[in-house]
Amino acid sequence: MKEFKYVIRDEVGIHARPAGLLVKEAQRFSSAVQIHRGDRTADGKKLFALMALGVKCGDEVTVQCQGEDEDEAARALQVFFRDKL
Amino acid sequence: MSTDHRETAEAEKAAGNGKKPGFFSRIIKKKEKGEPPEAAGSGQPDSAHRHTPDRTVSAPVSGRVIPLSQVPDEAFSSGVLGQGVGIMPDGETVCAPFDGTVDMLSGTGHAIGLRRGDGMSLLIHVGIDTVRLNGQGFQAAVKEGARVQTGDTLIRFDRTFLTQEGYDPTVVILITEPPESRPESLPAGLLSDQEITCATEPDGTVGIGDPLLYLRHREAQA
Repeated sequence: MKEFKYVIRDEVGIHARPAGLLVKEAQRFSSAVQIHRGDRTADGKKLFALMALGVKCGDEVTVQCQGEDEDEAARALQVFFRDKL
Repeated sequence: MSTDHRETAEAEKAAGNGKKPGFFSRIIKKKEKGEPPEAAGSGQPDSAHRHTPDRTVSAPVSGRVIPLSQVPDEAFSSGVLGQGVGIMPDGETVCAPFDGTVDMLSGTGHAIGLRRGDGMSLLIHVGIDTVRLNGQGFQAAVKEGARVQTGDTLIRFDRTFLTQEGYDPTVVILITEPPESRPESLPAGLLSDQEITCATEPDGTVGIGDPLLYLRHREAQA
């Protein structure tokens, strides 16, 4: 399993637009992608789950990728978070 | 294997589940009468008569229908979140278009995600970029996880306030998951724009509960 932490800088957090893009990015990989915020966890490939996580600016999230292409997935998602969130 | 039969059975179950009748079950009933559900998969999407009832999404808000491509937010117009339409609202209430569950409710009350028994998921997003209002002008009438019935009020919003604050009040209605359950591995679960038909002409108006979107059968797109 690969994981990384990221503190959200986007001023409105993971709302519809970035959530949709994140889901799309996560779905490129066969690995399971989980996003943790505090004690809550969401499937990074499901839009509603991700939006329901209610991630706001300043929140720290932990992203975990598990599966065959976990290295690649974690790398791509790290870039995504850095660029978009 | 015929998916038609399974879906028909589900539709009948949904229609006759003994709960209080929704206020547009009338419309659905009317549709059931005229045509056998088997006709719905034959790849002729032009007429409303070719769609089975469970493939109709009714309008959750009243107003003027706008093609998704003309919604002024690329996150929606690009179809990355799903296919659907915009409605320039003339009212201030968002109602449940079907019996289902509140899968997602944004803390700010401007967006809600509903899931129907057959797995179809719908995102209703009130206004463009309204996440920035941080809840001002929005009041959620339900909680996340709640079961809702057709016609239940989900969100009330202050259209005048949104406009005054410089926000476009267009309500975006997106099908984020199609009705069939699909393997997790399939990309996005998103419908293509070929798979839905709008029930009105562009710029047509709808009332709450009027048919808004029809879904084509996936078989029909091959």
